[in-house]
Amino acid sequence: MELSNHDELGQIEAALRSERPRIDGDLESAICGRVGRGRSGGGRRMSLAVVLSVGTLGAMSAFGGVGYANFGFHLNPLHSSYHSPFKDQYGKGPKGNPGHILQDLLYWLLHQHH
Amino acid sequence: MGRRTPDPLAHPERLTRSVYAYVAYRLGAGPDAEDVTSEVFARALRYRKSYDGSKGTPAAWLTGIARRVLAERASHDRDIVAEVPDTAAPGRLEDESVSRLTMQAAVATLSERDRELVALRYGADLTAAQIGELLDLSPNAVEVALHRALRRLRAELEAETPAAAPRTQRPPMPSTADGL
Repeated sequence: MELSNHDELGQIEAALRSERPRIDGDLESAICGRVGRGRSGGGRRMSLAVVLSVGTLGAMSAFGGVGYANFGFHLNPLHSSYHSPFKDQYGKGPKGNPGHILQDLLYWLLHQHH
Repeated sequence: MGRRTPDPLAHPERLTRSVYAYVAYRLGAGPDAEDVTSEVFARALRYRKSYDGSKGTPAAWLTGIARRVLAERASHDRDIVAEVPDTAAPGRLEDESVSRLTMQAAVATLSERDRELVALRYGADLTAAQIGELLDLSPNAVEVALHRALRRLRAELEAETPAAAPRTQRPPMPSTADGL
C-alpha cells in the first residue's frame, strides 16, 4: 500500500473505512430475512390470537353459549305441554339450570309410563 | 403511557455490515466472523424488546452484544486463533480485494487493544464517545489511543512490501470483552 507523506493517517482512516471487511451477500440476506421474519412474526402471532379469539366467541354465539341449554330446552317438543314440576313450583326458573332440566326429564319419563 | 421503544433492528442491512466488519477486524474475515455475526443477531432478536434507546444507538447496542459473544468464545475455547486470509498474489484477485486483505492483515498485527479500537471505530463505525462508553474511557482518551493505533498501523503498512511472500497471521483471541 503506497502512502503519501501528506495526511497519511487520514488516508489510513479512509482506507480502514472503505476497505473494511465485507459480509457475504448470502449471509447478509439470511440475517436480514431472519430479522424481518422476527418482526412480522409478532404481528402474525397477534393476528392469529385475534382470529382465534373472534372465532371462539363466534362459535359460542352460534351455538348459544351459556344460554344454549335453556334455549334448547324451551324449543324441545318434550316441553311443548308447558307443564313441568319445576315451572309449576318455581315459575320460570334460572336459565340453564341442569337440575331444572334433569328434573323435568325425569318427570316426563315417569309420565310416559303412566 | 410510556414512549414506544424504537425497533433496534429496523434497518438490518447497515447493521449487519457494521457488526460483521467489527467482528472481522477482531477475528479476521471468514467463517468465524460469520458465525459470530449470526450469533449476535440471534441474540439481538431475542433481546430486541428489552432494547433501551436511551442507552445508546442500535449499532452500539449490537456492538456490545458482539463484544460479549467474542469474550464468551474466547473463554470457551482459548485455543481457537483467528485465521487472517493469506495475502493474495497480484492478479488473482481484484486490486480492491488485495488492498482489503492487506489492510486486514496489517490490522491483525496490532495489539489486542489497538485492534479493538480500530474495529470499534472503523468496523462498527462508532464515535469516540460511543467507544468511550463501551470501554469506560473518555472520548479524548479514545481519540488519543486511536491516533497511536493508526500510527502503528501506518508503520506496519509501510513495512509491507507487495512482493512479500504470502503469510498467515494468527492473532491471539481476545481474552475478555473488556480486555483492554
